Amino acid sequence: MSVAGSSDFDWSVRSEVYRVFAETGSSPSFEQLASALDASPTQIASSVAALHDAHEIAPSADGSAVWMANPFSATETEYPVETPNMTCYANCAWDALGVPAILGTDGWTRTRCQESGVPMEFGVRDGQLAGDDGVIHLVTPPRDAWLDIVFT
Amino acid sequence: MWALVQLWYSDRLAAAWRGRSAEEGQTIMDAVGLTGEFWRLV
Repeated sequence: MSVAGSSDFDWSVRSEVYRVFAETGSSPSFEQLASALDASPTQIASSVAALHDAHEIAPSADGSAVWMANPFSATETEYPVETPNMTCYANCAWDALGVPAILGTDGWTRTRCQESGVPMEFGVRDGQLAGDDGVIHLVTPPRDAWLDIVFT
Repeated sequence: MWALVQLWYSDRLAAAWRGRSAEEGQTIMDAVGLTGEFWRLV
């Protein structure tokens, strides 16, 4: 992990990305971030790149948008999470639990086992972990997660 | 798993968040009993 190299402005960008995800379930565009932070989209792109280096945010392949702000995904995934205030997409089963954890709310996921295709649901209800029994298989050791965060 | 996820994510919306070092992450792993090589961060 790396915490060095990010400016106060970079952290402000991160905060705004997460704020919008938490409130709406969707990622802000670079234009929306620029407007909110009185900056240019180019400055936002530079900050997102720096935040990627700091293992905080993953940009899209072309660097023009936020792709992941873990546990949130900017794109539709197999892990929709319904919360009391919004529905969002998580990047994986681990992040599907990460959504209620980061929000401090309930959150429920209806998905399918990626191996067998069997429907399953799980999440947090009334503050308690609940749902179908299952296994979350982590293939990548956490220390290597950001070598390829998309694969992870 | 839920204990780990909560420790991992519960403070990440804070405006004061400035990242977490590998050592700090290791403290979380140790706290939930994940001490095997797969879980080592440092």
